[in-house]
Amino acid sequence: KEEQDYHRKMGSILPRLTNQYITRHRATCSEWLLQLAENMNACSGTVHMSCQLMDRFLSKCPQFPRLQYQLLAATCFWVSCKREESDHVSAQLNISNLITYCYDQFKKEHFIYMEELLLNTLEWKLSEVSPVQFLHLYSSSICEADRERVVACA
Amino acid sequence: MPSVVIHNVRELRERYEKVLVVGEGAYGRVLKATERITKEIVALKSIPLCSGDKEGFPISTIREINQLKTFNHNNVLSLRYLLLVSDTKEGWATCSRSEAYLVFDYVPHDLTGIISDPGILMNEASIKSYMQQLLTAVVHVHSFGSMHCDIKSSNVLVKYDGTVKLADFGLARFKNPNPNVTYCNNVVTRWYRPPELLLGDNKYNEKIDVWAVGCILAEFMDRRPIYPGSDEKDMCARIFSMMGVPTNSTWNNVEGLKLYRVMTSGIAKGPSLRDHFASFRGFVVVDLLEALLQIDPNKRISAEQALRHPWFSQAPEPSKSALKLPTESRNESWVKKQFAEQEKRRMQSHQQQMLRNGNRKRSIDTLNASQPPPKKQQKITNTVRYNGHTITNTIH
Repeated sequence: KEEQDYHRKMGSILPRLTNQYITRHRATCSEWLLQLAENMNACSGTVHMSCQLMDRFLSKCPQFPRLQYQLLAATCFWVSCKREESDHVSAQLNISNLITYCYDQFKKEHFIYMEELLLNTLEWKLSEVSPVQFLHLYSSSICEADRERVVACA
Repeated sequence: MPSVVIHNVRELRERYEKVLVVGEGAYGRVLKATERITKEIVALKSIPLCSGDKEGFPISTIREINQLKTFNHNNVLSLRYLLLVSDTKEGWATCSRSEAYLVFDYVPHDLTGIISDPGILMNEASIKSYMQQLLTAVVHVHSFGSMHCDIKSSNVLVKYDGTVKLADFGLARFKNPNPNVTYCNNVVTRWYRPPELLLGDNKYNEKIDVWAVGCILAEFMDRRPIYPGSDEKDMCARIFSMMGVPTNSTWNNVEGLKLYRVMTSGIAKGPSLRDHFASFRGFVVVDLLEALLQIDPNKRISAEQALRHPWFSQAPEPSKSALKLPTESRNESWVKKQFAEQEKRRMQSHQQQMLRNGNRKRSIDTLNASQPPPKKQQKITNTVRYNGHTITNTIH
């Protein structure tokens, strides 16, 4: 019960997620996102952010249908690319590419609708702090040689 | 900031009464409108949505909203809310024509208008106050690890009471903590672009904003832009002829930049910055200007250091209200209208002159008509400026 209270208090920071999502689908989604990022040559920060967006979205809409998780993951990736990726990657990533990566399961309109839903649900707040930023912060105080190693581990 | 969803265009018209179009550019339009219920005047910045290749929300919008939600500062124009107008049916419907607007407080003046209006007499106290407020806003933005990337006089808005509001975060972005990340080189309106961008650097940092602030300070002192280059090459020629061509010994690794060879060839030495502002000789402000317009970004002072510059603590003290601003708005679109009118008048007088020439050759009339040369000179510089503004708009 204490834990529940704590979660309620920290509601906006610690996403409340369903058990099923954490135990089953989160890993699958993250793995798929990592593959996607590798294909696109995107940096790891984008993947971390997409995962975070997804967690936050699902904590607000726990009823979101499981069959659309891929659409959600792809849209999260799309939005975080737009927000922070360097320009050659975000220019490369467009809806038709996303559709191909999702094996033609979804249509253009789905992505556009999903994007709006995602952004409105998160109240357009995309700058939540992620653990990776702390790693970068800590690593910036370590000497140059160690830094590469730490970031690579992350 | 709540985002308000409106389901059709009629509802939008019921809510707001459009007054006029304030600005128009590649990014969309800015409308001045009155909210019918509260009678407040707001600025609606339209976002191009679902047009052309339907790529969802544009990158610039996502970044702009994101930045604006991060900042909370009196000198940064804050976003009231986001207005989504959609004609879509509920659910997974096909997206028909829909619009979105960012709703801001309406701010009547901007620095382009104030500087270009010959009716407004500048004084040091107000310039100091404007610069101080602008720099505080920039420090606030930089403290979040963000860069504005499009500081120019028309993006610095001024309220009636002299409060400065930094606006237009469409190009702004957060700096990536990874130092090896490259950014898009094509940012900042041309006249305010720092040398590192002109030389093709894509690992720049927040110092690009400091350069732009320096350009604005110079614009205050001169009442015209300091580097109104017609293209990138001309920009470099203007900057380097004043500051000297940088070499590896004056700016670490500058010769390794992509466009170094192209941009630094054939540059003649011109008057230096201190010579250009000879009328300000002995004033501390030139000192600050020199520090802001340092071509090497590593030697350029930060916004925070600039704020601590002795100029700000010297008499006269910065005062918001030292300058009486007109009740009519003085902004970029006002300046454009003035130039358009001047141009029209010039064309008319030119036509009349042609007619007279045709009717009576070499009459005294024609001599009179073509008499005032200083005015003509002014017109020429004005048209150049006007062109600059139209071009700057296409950059966005």
